[in-house]
Amino acid sequence: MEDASRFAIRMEGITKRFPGVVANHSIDFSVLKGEIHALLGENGAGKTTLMKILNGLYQPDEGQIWIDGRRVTLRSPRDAIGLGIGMVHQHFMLVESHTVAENIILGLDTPRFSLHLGQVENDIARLAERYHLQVDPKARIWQLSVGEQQRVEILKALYRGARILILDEPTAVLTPQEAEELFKTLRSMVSEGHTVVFISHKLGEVMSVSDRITILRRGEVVDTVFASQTSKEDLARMMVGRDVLVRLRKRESEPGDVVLEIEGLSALSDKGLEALRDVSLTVRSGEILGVAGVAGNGQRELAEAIVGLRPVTRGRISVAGTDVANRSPREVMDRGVGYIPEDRMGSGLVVNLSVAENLILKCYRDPPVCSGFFLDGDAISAHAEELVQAYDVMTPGIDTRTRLLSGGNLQKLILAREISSQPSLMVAVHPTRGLDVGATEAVRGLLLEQRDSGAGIVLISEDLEELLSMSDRIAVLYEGRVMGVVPSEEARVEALGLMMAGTAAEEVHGE
Amino acid sequence: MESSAGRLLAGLRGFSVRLEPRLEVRRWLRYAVPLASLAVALMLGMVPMMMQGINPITGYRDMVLLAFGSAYGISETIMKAIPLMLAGLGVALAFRMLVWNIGAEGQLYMGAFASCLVAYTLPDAPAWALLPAMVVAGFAGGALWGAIPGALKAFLGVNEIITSLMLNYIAIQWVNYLVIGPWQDPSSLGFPSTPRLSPSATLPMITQAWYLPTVVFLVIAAVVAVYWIVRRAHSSREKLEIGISFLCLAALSLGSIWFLGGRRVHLGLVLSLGAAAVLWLLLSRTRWGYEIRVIGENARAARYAGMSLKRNIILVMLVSGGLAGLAGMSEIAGNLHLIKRMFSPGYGYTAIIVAWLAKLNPWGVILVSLLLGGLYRGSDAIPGAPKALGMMLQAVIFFVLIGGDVLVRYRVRWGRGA
Repeated sequence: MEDASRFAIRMEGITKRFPGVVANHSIDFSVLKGEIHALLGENGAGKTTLMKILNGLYQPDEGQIWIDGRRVTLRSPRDAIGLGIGMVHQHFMLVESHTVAENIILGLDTPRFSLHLGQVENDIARLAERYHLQVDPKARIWQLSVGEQQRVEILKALYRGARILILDEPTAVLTPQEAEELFKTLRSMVSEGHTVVFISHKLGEVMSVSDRITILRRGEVVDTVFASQTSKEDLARMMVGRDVLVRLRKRESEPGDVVLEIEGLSALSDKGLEALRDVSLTVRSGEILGVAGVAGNGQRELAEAIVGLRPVTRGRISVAGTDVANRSPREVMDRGVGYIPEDRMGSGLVVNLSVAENLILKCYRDPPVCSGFFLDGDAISAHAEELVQAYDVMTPGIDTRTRLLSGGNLQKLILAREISSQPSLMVAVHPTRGLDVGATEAVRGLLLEQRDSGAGIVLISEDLEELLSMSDRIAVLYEGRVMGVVPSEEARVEALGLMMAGTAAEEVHGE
Repeated sequence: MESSAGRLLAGLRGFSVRLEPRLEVRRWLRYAVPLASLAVALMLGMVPMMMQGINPITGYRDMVLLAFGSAYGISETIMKAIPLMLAGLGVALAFRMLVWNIGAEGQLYMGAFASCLVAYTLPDAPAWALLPAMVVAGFAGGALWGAIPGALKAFLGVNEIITSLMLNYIAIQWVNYLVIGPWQDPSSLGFPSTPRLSPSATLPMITQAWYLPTVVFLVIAAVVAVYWIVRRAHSSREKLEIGISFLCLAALSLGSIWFLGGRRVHLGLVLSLGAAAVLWLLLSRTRWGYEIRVIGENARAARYAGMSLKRNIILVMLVSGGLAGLAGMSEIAGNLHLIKRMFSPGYGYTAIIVAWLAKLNPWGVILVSLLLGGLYRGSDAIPGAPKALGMMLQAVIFFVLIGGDVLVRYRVRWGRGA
């Protein structure tokens, strides 16, 4: 094979099965040396599995891998880095209280005994300059922004001698501007002879950065195309397998009374730092207030403060006229507030209990579910049967352990439970994250239905398209402050991006 | 020049053993792995036996024969199992909510103390009044002792593992002080024990005379069971569960009267089985049990649903300690009839093993208690074997079974790296 040396990575016939699913089905995937190759696909298409195989985290059930023309077996990330493959995960693997330099040498065998951090710091600084990855080697991780932490992860891979860099959804946590910086870095790496594979489901960035694009759907390769010879529409069709979501057709909103009024709200993060600063927002019945922002700018704290899960240090939260700041979740709930938490399995559901048991989580104290000290089995099953049917939850039965349901069905289960209590205010955090197209449509439809029937909705999301298509107004959070609230029909993605990076609304519009 | 140690190290580094979670646990593994683990544990147990010069094959044979080989052996095994059952149920309840009550031993001693306090204060009370009062006192003594770490955890966030463990020593030494001090039997000639309990303060033995009341009780239980099956159960699995539990109850009660009648087994057995039934019902059918399960599985979801962690921690520790207290009460009032110095051979600690091996299931606690009770009894069997042998076997079994559990949930992958 003469042209074998052109390939940095060649994977042939890769199959990986998990019980009940074939995550990768005889995938052929090859990456040329010195290219930026995008791996495009929906959540659950098998992108991350394929890359974890390449990084030695999973072993394929079938198939062969060549790196730089040499047949290899990858058993661990250590093997992978030995062959020059480094991976930057979606969730960073950094020790928060250590410095950048300490994190970068963590786990390395050399130096074995005496540690000259000064030398390491110099090396890192040099690497950082070469690839436009500005970061202070002496800084501690917790002091860094998410974008900077990502740079540390990239430096970590480069320091270990990675020539092939895999990035798993690198832009998910970045502002549009930070993403642009990252792409510059990737281009400079490629010009130095490195190879980059990056996983994404965002069509725009895939088109603008990559040389070639491989599209995965349901664990199989649909096609590999040159970015210069394709279009967003073609990519979308290949990715989804049918024509993409038309922009949601939603009715004109009819805002009514104020259901939620937040005034001068401040709250602390889990680390005790100020996460919300003097936030004021209003939501009326029959409207959706979108909350945009880069991950970690106070969105989670805002949602938790409203539903009573997080103490408030200053300010008022009035729900339908009564102040609920620092009340217990139960009191807030009783005032008609529903909550769709960000982590479905973490605080939304008890995954080891059955579907029926999860559906009574909010009403297990009240008749008919509870009569005195005992729970009423019949009432529990009737309640569950009704909701499972009404919300089209796909489950083998109401006694099935919730753990066994798919992501979309987990979310429908939460929606069923929350909506069935007929809330006047719904707080939804990333309600469609990780869901496939069908489930996303269903969840969005349910939320719009709630709006149309008169509930006020706070929709927190990182997906700007979702915010633009669902919300009536969009508030942007940056470092715990509201940078501005704009009606969604007037909002432009670029302007929102600037606000997400800390520019106040007036300045953005002044330009 | 590379040293051989260096080469060995390099060789080891290339070799990797990794655990991959099984996404789907095969049913047969759930049974095969514990059985295989038990076999491994028994093999490991042969080592200390051989070091003592005991033939392990005959040693094990003697142990099994002594513990389960005769009606007398079985009744003695049950005697050892009763405190394990009660304390094990208490520990299992706390563990269900991820409250790590390591203090069953101390709670057991305080239960024994409190029940004897009642017995010695009211020496002339008739059995029908005294025994219930002792049961209540035993429960209360253990419950209050358990509530201390519970309250400290709930209000101050103090780690309950440490406090409940430390309170064990206080309880044990308190009882020791009583038996060599103010409560010592003057006629015991310096032997550290309290005077014998009066007959009306001792739990009655199971005898043939129990048939009639038991049958009456079973008829009532049958009516209740039918009511639950028809009116309350919300799935066929539940109906089956209720049916099976009733049949177990009937078989157990009648069988034990037939089998154990006239031997040394006392009312504590009924108390244990009743406690298991109540606990099972509580966990699976009541509002409180639902809260305990939700909190144990996912405290964040529980908080959002408005469940009070503080209240539940204290309540659970009260009941958990109370059950351990009952273990102490039944051991004294049913078996020993007086308090000796260090009267419990670590029942409260073994209860932790019992609860864990039973996967925190109340009926599992009953079964595992019988097995470990057999081990207590059986280790007396081997002539020349030190007392510690039984404890060692217990520990080995526990280690290997818990370790083996990993194999049920994970798949081991190994090989040499590239």
